[in-house]
Amino acid sequence: MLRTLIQEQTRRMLPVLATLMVASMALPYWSVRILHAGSRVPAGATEALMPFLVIGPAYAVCALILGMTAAVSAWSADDVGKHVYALTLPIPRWHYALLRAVAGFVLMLPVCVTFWLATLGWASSVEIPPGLRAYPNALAIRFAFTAFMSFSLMFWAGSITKRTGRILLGVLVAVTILEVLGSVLGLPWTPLTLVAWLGGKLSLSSMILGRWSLVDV
Amino acid sequence: MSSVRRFPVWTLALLMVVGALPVSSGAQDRLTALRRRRDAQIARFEAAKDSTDRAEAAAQVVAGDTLTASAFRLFVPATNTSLGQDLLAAAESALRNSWLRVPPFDTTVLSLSVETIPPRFVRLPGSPSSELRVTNGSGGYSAAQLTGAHDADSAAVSEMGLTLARLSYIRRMRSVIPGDVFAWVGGLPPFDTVSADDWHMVSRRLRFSPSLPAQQCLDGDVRACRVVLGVDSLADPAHDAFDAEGRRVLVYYLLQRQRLSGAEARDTAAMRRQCVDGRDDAACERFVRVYLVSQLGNFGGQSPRDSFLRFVAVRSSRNADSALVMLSNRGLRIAPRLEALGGAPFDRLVGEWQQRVAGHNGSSASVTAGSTWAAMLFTLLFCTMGVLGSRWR
Repeated sequence: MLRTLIQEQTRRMLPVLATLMVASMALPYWSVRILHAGSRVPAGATEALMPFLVIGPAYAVCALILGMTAAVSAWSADDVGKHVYALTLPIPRWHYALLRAVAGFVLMLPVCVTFWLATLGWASSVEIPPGLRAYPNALAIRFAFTAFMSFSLMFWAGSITKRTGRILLGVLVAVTILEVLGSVLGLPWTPLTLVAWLGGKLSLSSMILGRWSLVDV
Repeated sequence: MSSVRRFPVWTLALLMVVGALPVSSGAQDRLTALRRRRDAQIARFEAAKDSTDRAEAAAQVVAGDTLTASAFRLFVPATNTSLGQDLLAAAESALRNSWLRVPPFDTTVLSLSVETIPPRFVRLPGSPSSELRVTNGSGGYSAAQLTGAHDADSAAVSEMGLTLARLSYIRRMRSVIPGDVFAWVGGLPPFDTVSADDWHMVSRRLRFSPSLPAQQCLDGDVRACRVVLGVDSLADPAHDAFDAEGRRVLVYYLLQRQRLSGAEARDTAAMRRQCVDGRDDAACERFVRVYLVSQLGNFGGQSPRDSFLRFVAVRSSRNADSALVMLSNRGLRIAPRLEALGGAPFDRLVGEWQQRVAGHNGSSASVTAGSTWAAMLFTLLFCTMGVLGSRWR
């Protein structure tokens, strides 16, 4: 059954998966392209760090899109069929949902592995300037976990009922109002600062907001 | 004959003197009268002018108001009093909070502030009809006149407040700091905090600088740090501050940045070929002496000085204002001034600063085990919630 779900989700995600696969191979190249240009001066370290400014956010966006697309495609077939197929299956519902989640992770894996291999390949294809190091593994881990986190969040959001969704939407609106009020009144604590603080304490923010750089000191 | 002819001359001269006395006295009286009349007219004119000025001032008072809040003075139309108060609050907030987080002085604002010595209008983004007229204020503070800001929204007010704060602060700094200190700090004021990002930046600057003092400073050499900070100088920087590869790198990058043209480009082309392509160190040194000698005093750029100044200010628990006052002590060289600011021997301050810089030598590109575990738990938590979600019960 898992195989069927994977095939079905793959069919839905194929164009996005193909695009992300190409992007995951190409983006690391842009990180080291300047080193491929054959600098006549070996100590081009400052220039080697520059692509981080542009490519860094692109990595994060790519990972977020991957996770979100996988999560949306996990539930889209059931949403179209009004969940009739899922409800008629002779397996517990949690089992079915688990299979959907696993299928989502399986679909994300090829892109993550491709990205890892691409970072390894492109990093080893250039001479890293003295004082700098390549971080292909760290970047690949950051990419994969960002994709996984965005997938899990969206997967959960897709599984909630309309009533829960409305409650969540209300909470979101309230938080936004609090944020705006906090900014206008100059309050030291707003929901966003609280989330940022919590994220920092839980080391989550460093995973997503850390330095998405293939080459660094 | 001559005696006969001489007599009438003397007589006439005498008569003229005697006769002139009443005439002169009459002219003096007329002159005095004219002066009195003129003074009276001036007095009347001034009285009229004062009266007009008072009337105009009274009209101004009716039409507008002067709002003052700590460092800021702002002239606002009566119709915009609340906006003026918002603007001052935004300026104060910018100085108190955002000041440390926003990029301190971008080139636009700095050049703008330099140009605002004579009064000028600053048209601000976000509110096309809003203008801040920056004028000379008393006590070194800026004063600004707000006009036409009737449609300013909160974002525009924040932007204007930030601009006002920046202008005020730069102006004040320029009026307080002596020229040599101003040059030393590179036109940037001392900020109250140094963030981790700043330390990373300084560390990177020193690491990637082609100069030996910068690299030696990062390795813990306090004397090299003094050179980097611009309080000591090298006897022959073209020779002593670089090894052969460092000189080559310096020439390569500075030529790339300068993009010389015409005769200068032709003159340097041969030397460049010898130095960069031919790896001829003598040519590199010659090049540095001829073309770059004026640029050799600032190893590692401005950021080490800036961060050192901020570090010293923070270490002494002084805010930026106090730091400015301490630095404005004329008659001393920069090191004693910083020593007085930091309240410790200069080399000790440099050593502490160096340790902080060297401590931020690592990379933030690596992923910690803690963040990996946190990400795994996050993923697991939300997937479990998704699997056991209410829709499936």
